[in-house]
Amino acid sequence: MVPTSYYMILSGILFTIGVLGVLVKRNPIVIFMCIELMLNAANIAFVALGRHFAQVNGQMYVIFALAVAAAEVSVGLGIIVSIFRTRESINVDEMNLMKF
Amino acid sequence: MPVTAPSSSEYLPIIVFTLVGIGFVGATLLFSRLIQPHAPSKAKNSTYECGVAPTGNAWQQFNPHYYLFALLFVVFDVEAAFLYPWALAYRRVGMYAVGEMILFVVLLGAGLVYAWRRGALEWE
Amino acid sequence: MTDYRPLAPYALLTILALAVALLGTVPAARRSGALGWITAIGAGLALFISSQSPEATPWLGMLRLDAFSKACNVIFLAALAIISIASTAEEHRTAFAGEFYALLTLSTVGLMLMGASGGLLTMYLGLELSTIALFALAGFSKREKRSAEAALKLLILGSVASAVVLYGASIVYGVLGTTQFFEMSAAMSHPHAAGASAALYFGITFIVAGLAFKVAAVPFHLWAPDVYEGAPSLVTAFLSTASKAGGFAALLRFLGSVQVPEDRTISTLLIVLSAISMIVGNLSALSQKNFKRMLGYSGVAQSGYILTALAAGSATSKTISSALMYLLLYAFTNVAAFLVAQAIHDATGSDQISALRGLHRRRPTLAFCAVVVMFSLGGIPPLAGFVGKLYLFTAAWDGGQRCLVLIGALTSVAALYYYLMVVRQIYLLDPEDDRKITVAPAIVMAISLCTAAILAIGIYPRPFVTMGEAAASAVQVTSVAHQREAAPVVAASDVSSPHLRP
Repeated sequence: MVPTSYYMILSGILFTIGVLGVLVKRNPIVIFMCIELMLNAANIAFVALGRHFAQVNGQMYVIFALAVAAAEVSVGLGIIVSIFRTRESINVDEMNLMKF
Repeated sequence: MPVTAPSSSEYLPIIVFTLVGIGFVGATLLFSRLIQPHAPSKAKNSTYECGVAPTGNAWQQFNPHYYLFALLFVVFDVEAAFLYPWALAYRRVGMYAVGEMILFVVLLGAGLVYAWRRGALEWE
Repeated sequence: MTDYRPLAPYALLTILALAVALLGTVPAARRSGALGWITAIGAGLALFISSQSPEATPWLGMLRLDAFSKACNVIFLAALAIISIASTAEEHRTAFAGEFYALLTLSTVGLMLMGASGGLLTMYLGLELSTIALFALAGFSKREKRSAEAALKLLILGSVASAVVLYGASIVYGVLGTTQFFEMSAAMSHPHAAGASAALYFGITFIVAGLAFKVAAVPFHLWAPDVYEGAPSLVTAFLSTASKAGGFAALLRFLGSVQVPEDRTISTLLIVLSAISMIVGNLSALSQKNFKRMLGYSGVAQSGYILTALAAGSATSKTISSALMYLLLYAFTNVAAFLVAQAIHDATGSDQISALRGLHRRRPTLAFCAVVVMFSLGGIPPLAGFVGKLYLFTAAWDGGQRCLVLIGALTSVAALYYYLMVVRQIYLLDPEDDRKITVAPAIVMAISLCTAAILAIGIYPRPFVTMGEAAASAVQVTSVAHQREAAPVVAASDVSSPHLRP
């Protein structure tokens, strides 16, 4: 049986990759994929810990988190599409109408 | 604990199967590369689309209407994620679970009615 | 059998949101301007039902419908009702009025869930429900580039914040084996828990950081000025009051009912957040030319004031009651401030502070309300802002955070400068254009309601303090209470696990 700590390490690595991607990438769709990675890191941790504690709760959280992530992506893509329509570019570096 | 952990020897067939799969595909490609005659032409280099001559660019933009359908699909796709655990649990929970699921589906249905009223299901 | 009657306000608001969204697709209903009034009346009704309903903890303690959640509902629903009334003035301009009210209402339901959460899962779901609705609302005037940009900024940073909360929750679950607040307290006081405390603090820090984003505390505030400036003023009014109150409600619920033994780490975190929020928020606001952006930075500073009380001890009755009371009066004050911004924008097309110039000649009643609001934000007696700040700083002082109170007092003086600069524009300078400006009656009515509330709370704060104290006693844990709460939940999850496992 694979020890729970392996899953936790995997989830930590995925979360870190997600955070780095959000910081480094310039395309909002790719940033969104990185955010999904962060959410899925938490999901992996929940499932693995649910098995570790022999509780069904862990899997229950994941179902809710998945539904929430789907809703977030739907709204997010809608916003990105509408931005693309107004300015023909979705590079986050060009989102600079408002500054100090 | 109802989970029976697979021991490492149970993974052995999977590893063998993976290796055989990779080896078979690799060997076939290598062998055909070795014995084939090399005579490229324009028709041969074009993208294979089931025998029909390909039209347009693969990077063309899609109609944004597909996006609306995709959204509606995601909603009902995620609904299925809730229906599976419900299907497993409802025998124990009984009519209460049926009521809750009806409520859930009615809420989603209201969303669908809204999308319909807003004309999201029509092409112009 | 669990008592489901206290869920009535939540059900009412959900049905209201669906009904308003569907009504919005009927052109006749959209033109009449009735949708906003329906929403406002629904919010008022929900508030009444919520105040009358008994207390309950349905669904194995996932929700805690008690005096605390009722007190939070007052804040959220008051903000929803007032903003809905004001929005009726703008309803004819958009074809999507139904969606606007539906999203506002759904966001409110999310915030109410945060206030009533009995565990991290409910808190996360409430957080996401309110935030996702706000993504769409921030970009509501989608033809305007600023609004779309605000929506994208809120979307990316908000999603990251909620992912951070979820990851923190997974770590806490790993350490304690539960995500229900009362069980968490029980697990922490368990003798075996000591070894895992570093990971536990890590997880709690993640959750606090995610919620600090929601309340726009420095260094998680970077979205706030941009989004406040870019989003439509009516949305900003909600975002800066109800949404912020939701973040604080979750923080109070979480930190108040989960008592970390000897929690030096968490209080240090809160002290730092509070101090830099007050300093950075107030200093950045000094140099702003845009009225909404200035209010954005001022909001960051106000979060810092509330955090002083939290840093002094999140579970004391003074902290919780003073924070709730401040959030309530801040809701009235800031909603009024952004409605003034909306009125000025409608009349002059500008969001700059200079657009307020000579307002006392152009529209005396609006000028009076705006000045009351500015004085209340600046904390001048006898207005609500003064009373609220007094309670907050007293709670912090009694909790031993004297240094923070000192920083708070000093930065408040700096803050007075930029609030008084606005008052100077309104009253002391003569307008370039002497003509009267017209303001929609609905907005005037909403601003007057807020101003009346600011004066009332300032002069007679007693009932609100009592409400806050009742809420505080509901959050606090006695060892008897969490043993009684913990037992059935653990049993239920143990029993159900083999059956759902193939």
